[in-house]
Amino acid sequence: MGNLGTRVSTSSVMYPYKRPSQIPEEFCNADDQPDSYYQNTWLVQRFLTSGIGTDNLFGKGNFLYVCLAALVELQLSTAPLNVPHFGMHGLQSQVILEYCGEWQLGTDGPLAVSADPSMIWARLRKDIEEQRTTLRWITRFFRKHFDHKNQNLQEAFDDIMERFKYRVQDLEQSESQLRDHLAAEGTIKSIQMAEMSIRESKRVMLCMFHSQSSLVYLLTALK
Amino acid sequence: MASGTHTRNPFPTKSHPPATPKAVTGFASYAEYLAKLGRSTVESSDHLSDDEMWLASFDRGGRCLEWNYWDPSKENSLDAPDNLPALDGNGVRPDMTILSSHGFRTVLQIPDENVAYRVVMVATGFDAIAPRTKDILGLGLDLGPEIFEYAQMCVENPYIGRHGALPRPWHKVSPALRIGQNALCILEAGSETASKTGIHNVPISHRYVS
Repeated sequence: MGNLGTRVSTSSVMYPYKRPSQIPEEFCNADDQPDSYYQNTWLVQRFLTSGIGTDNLFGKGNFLYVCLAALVELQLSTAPLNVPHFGMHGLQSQVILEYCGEWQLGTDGPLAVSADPSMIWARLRKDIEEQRTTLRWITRFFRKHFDHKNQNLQEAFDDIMERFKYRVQDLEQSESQLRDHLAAEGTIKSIQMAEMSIRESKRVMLCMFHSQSSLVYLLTALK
Repeated sequence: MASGTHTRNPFPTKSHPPATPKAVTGFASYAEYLAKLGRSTVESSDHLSDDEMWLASFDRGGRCLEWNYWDPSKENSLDAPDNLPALDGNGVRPDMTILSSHGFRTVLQIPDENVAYRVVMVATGFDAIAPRTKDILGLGLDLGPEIFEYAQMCVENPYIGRHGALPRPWHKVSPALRIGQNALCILEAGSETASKTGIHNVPISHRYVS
């Protein structure tokens, strides 16, 4: 068997442990711990100075690719907060937010944050549209500012774009699920309304029957 | 960003690059500079702002040479500006130099032959980019107003309309790219800037998502 050579995967030399991550880290020195208020800024700073975009890796003139990578990685590491969680208890008027780390105080202890499904759907839809827009324009931005013929750079960009597309597809899946939830909820409400109107019409018919009977009695009595 | 002929317009143009990028230093504010160019002016009131900026400089090999930082809340306490000890734990690295607004703007304007790339990170505390931030960046890097309009669009709360605001810019023709709640703009090295510069906008107001 011939020597296939060692393929250097760009993603493996991308210092994945230095990618922006919202996971809390342990710091040896307490002074190094960034305030949560500055977490994103600090993550981007570290990404910029970790040597990911050095000319040795991506070729001359492509250093600022690290800026693009930093913001996309930051976006990928941030949980989408408008994704609903669907349990096994059927349709509910309020949906729980899957990735919302906050809890609200309930009478029986802390409860997961929940919200009106239609409101969550509107927010989720907005998030998806914004990310679709970024996806459409990011390739043009990349080609305009960087040497896309550089194989290492193109591989790194393809890797990050693939993950970005998967994220958008995940959001689209959640949006579709939520849309089905709203449609099912709408169908149930329609059925309930139909049943109610059937009951009402039966009641009206019954009343009419009684009044007609009374009328017959009245007429009979008059004779 | 500037237009017109060299004789009528003292500002840098593509066809007539200036000798140095200091062409806009004669203006006190970005609003004044835009007014001179005949562009729409930005608000000139110097209200309280929560904006912060970081500037990282890199050499040709991608090695970080220095970090600079500007925070308007420390502006008045800078008795000896441009060289105060850095703070801990609030996004300021130990090796950072804290600069006054004038110092930060000067660093942006003055070319350094050792610096090949620069990255400016702007964190906006309120929904609007403060006029002083626009002054520093606009005059320091000779930026066009559309970049601020675009960045503004990223940080604004879409549910709250700005009083008397113009229609939002059509961001698809903007030189910046929006990624999530952040925006990225890359300026080529040339007559306007001493070195290739990337600008991030990392809005503080969107760090916590409710």
